[in-house]
Amino acid sequence: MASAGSGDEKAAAAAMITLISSDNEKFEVTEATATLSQTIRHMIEDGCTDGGVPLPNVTSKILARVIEYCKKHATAAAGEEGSSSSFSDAAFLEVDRAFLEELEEFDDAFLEVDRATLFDLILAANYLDIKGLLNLTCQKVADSVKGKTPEQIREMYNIVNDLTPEEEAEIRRETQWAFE
Amino acid sequence: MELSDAKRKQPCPSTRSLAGDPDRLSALPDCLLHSIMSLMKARQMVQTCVLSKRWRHLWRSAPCLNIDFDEFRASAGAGTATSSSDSDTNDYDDNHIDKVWEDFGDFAVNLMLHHSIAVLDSFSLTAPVFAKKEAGRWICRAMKYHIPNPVIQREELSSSSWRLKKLHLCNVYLYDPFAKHVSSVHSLEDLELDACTCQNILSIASHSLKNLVLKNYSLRLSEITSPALKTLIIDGGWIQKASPLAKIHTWGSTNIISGNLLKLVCGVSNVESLELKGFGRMVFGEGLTPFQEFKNLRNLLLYNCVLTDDFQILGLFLQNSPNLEKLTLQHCKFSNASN
Repeated sequence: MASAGSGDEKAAAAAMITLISSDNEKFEVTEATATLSQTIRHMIEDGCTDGGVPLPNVTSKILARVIEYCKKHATAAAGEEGSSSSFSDAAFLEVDRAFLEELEEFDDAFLEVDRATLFDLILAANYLDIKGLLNLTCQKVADSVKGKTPEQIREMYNIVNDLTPEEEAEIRRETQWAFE
Repeated sequence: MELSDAKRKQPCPSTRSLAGDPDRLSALPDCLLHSIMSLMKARQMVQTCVLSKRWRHLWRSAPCLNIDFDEFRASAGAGTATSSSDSDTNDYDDNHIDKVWEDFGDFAVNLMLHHSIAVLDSFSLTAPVFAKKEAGRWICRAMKYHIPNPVIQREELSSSSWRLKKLHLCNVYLYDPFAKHVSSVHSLEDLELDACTCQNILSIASHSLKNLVLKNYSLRLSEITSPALKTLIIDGGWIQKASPLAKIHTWGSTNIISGNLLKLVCGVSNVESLELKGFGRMVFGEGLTPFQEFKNLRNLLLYNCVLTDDFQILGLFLQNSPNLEKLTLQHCKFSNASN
């Protein structure tokens, strides 16, 4: 994926952006793909993308995944430009059901990653300000703990319980209404 | 790179963690943990307080609350031998449902008391059908007392310092002050009322509201004053020719139209998206003349509607929507009598 896409589409060449990962790998993407990231969108607007956009917080492995997501979603985003998240977005896309289903399948497959990658994606989505990807990855974490007890969640995510038994008992007393 | 390559080779199911892996979850900054917690239902979100010191107080400032009776019904059902996956409350004996309801009530009241509600971006409450009034009282209380400045509150500016953007209420009885609260929350952009009852609320006015969804409504609503409204969805309500819906105020113009709900819709002329779903019948009575121009309307969706008027209404929409880009008719019935 790295440095690809420089040959064929000459017409789009003007609107290509180069993203540079923390390990110095270069990725060339269309502006439409790149601007799914609000962070990059602002950089483009400020005209500071010449010579590539360094992303010191994102490794090439994660950046490749993020770009994969953005490419797929760039087309979807083009249709609903400007409309903030609302109750109606999904309904209006109803007509494009097939496309929407394809997008969902893509998202599901996209999330088939190990946990370390998932957290890297969350951090990258946050840093790059990609709302859809952030929501998708956070949802994955939220879903993974759904219906689980605190003990089970600790075990799943290796959360070290640094509360003393007394402290924990006190907290449970304070929030008894949430544990009944 | 070696690390990631090594990881890629093993078929690592995403739900398994290896012993000794660092706690990546707790290492996330507060804002991201809040994003994740906002996607949980409220009770489970609060329960994260016992995970570790890191988590103890996080829930109190989470920006979204999603209080849902189903979370209680489900967990109560799981604990008993008589659990049923059917969501019908009739499956439970009275004692059982009383207990679940009591737990839910305790939870909701305590949560609203202990959470910094004024910092909320989004609030969602799904009450059980049988408890509309009770749930309505919580909302009133929450809106009344959880306000940063209680002095201003008395001057009817009660909720002005809220930053709530999204409010979703399901099966809630809305008391009279609700409409006043809606007007005074200047940040409110999305309001969805699903199967809510509000006998005495006749108007909704808001300068910030962008999306308004009324589902399965039994409202006596007759006015919507909302200059910033972009999307109006009316879904699954009933429509009566002689319903009391009457007046619509929109930006810069006041129209008084007697007639039915559709006319209420017609008055919201700034709207960009309009969805009407599940109307058995759409009939225009007298006084078609004040049909306004929908100068901003781009999307029109009619779903499951009965258009037995020889497309009169549709024709009016089309004539009066110079910027319409997309028209969707789904599962609509047309009259086949040609006259």
